[in-house]
Amino acid sequence: MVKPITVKRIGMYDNKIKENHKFNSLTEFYQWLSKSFEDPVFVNRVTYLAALRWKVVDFIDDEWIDAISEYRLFEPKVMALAQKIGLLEGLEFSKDKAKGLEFAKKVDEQYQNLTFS
Amino acid sequence: MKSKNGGCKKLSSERSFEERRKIFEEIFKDREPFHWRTNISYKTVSKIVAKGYDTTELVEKGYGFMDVLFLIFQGRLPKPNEAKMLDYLLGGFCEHAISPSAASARIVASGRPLINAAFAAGIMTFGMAHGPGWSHAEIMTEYLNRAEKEGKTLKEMAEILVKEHLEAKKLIMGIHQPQHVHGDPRAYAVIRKAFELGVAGKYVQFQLEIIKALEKAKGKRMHPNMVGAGDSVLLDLGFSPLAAWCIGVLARGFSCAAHAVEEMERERAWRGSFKTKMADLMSLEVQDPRISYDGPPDRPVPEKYVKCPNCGASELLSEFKACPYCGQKLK
Repeated sequence: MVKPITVKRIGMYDNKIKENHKFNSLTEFYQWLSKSFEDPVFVNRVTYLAALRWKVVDFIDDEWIDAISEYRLFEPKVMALAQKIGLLEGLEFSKDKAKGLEFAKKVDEQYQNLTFS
Repeated sequence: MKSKNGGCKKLSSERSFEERRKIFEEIFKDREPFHWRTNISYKTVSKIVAKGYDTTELVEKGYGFMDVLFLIFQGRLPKPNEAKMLDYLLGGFCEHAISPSAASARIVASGRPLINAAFAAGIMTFGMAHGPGWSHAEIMTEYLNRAEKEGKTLKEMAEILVKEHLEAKKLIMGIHQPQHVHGDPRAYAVIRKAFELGVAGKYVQFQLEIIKALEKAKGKRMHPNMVGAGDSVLLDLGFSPLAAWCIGVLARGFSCAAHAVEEMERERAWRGSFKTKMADLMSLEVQDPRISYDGPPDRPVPEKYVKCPNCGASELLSEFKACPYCGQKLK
């Protein structure tokens, strides 16, 4: 199963595209995020949101992350998984980056179970 | 002759046209008679003109709703990127599922009034917590004016705003949405779109600085809500604070109307029937006093009136110390 995620890193004020990538899974997307950004909460949040939303926009250090994800999963199921793994502690994102990887791998494995139906 | 009309000797209908005209000229010797005054539009028997443009000509030439909003609120037609931004913003803002506005529209619609009453009730919920566009604009404008007066950068002024609000334990308008705790899905996208379309100005930039300053102060990100994002963009598009709020509220009004229509077409009136499969909003089960009532327990109603044992007068107020008819002392 290939669910592409495209992402751009864009200068907040000058609109300049600094990086442009296409990934074939949430795990690949997470790995790029994790390598590119230090803040674990940011990395975990963006990974989680990319499993749910088609458009994911967030910012860090005067840079936009502007992503399009084809996952579009059903949040009640994904949230339960994230809480089980510990990516979400209640509604707060974990400060442990490894939780993001575990979550992304599980989502890729269990994609069909996490859809709306 | 006796006056029938206050101090006037004659009713106006008893005067001739000439007499009335003379009085009229006397009254309005120093003042203009009332007439509407607007620079927005006029109409005649055969056409409607807004800010100088025939409205039919406008739409025939391809201008749409967004263009007309710019025209009537700002007196100008927008550049394509500005109209695109407004369209994007209002399209995203229009629907928000069950919020105070939609819920109110539905509850009012359940009573089956004329439908305009239902969606008017929906938009009447906008104020200090739900869609507080006016309060947001006031704060943004106040601090931006201060920045200019005190020679501060947007970043410095955002830090001051955050510090002052946290110290006073006041909410910062435009930040946080109680349901979208991981960030309102529309808010960052709207701000980003404003940069992409080249319409982001000092309000949007200040909003971003507020988010950054708050993150620094609290050690964690508090996300903007749709008022923070959308209202900042509307202000950067040149709408006045009041106009910006009206546009946002009215965009949501379409959603309130859709919810009111659905309520009237799909749901039973009153929402209190015993016959529906789901216990409904106004069902008595939902109002079972054992789970919903925490007022005083049931008790007898005190007697309002007493009877005089001496003269038999009834309907005496219970607080009377003596009968007002015979003077008999009352308990």
